[in-house]
Amino acid sequence: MEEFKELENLWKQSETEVPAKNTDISKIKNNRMKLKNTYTKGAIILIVTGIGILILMTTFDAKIKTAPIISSMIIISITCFLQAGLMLFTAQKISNIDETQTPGMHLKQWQNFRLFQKKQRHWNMPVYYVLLSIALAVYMYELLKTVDLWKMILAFMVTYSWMLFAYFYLGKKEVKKQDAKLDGIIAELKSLENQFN
Amino acid sequence: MNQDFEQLYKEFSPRIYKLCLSYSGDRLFADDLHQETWIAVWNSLPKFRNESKIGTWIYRIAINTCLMGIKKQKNKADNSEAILSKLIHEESDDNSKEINRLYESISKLKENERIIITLVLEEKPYEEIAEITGITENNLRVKIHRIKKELQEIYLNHGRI
Repeated sequence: MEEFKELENLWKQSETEVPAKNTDISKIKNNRMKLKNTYTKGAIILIVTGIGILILMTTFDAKIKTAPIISSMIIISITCFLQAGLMLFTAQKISNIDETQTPGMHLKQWQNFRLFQKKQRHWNMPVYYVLLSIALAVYMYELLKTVDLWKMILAFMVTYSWMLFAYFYLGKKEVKKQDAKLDGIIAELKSLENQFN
Repeated sequence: MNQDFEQLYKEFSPRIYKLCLSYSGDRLFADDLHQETWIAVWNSLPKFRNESKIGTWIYRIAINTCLMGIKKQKNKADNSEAILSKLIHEESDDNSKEINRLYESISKLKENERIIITLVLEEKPYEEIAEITGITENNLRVKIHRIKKELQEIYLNHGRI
């Protein structure tokens, strides 16, 4: 271990220049806070959008204030609020991660968060699509109820074909891509955690 | 709080910076990790409950910050060797080449090994290293023995001490 003493001596001699401290550290955000803020900002935008839709609804002329239009707008607002609630919940989860824990426990918390994100993506998309489809169906019916039946059917077919394509092809492809990315992150966190056992 | 923080920064930042540097082997990345650490310390300071030593607590934050910064580091891995040569100011020390080689050798170890060996080089007692890393003392002794050997090998493969 004599040689290691030499390394220890070298280490003691290694005076490095510490970067100057930022004068107002309280105003800078670290990566975890930036991630949390992304969710919080997204939630605020969705809440404002939901409220905006509801305000818009109250300004409608009595003639177009029909039950289907009102209900479709309410469904869209609810979708916005639900999504916002989920984003705030996610932001809270990030906030709860304790950076002062032992590395193993800290890494475990991030793993749990990533697993939550993965699960959430799986049920979030179907719920979003179902609510959107219902709102759209009601709205389109109200819009097209005076046209010929075949035109209405055609419009529905085109719209819903696109929605099904978006859900079953584009959406699933995206989920698969995101899953692979999250699986990679989870595996990396797991392998780091194992190093501390 | 500001005064407490200033004092902590003054006392611990050189050691924390060396930890970031030996972990990353990259001065630019170490600057980021160091800043991230102190932002986290600032934000967590009101929650500090004296359940452990403040030094232990700050080291844990620094280590967790380093570990979570792993992805960024991998992207920079390709050009890290070029940056490594600038780790230490050339004029600062006669041993600058050896010191650079030491940092470079540490950054070639596994992530947990880099952290453990840095704490050993900082002459932290085993008990405190165990508390910081959450690894049992017995397990730690075995690991430290192995890491020392590995570090020496890597270092010697770069030339003579």
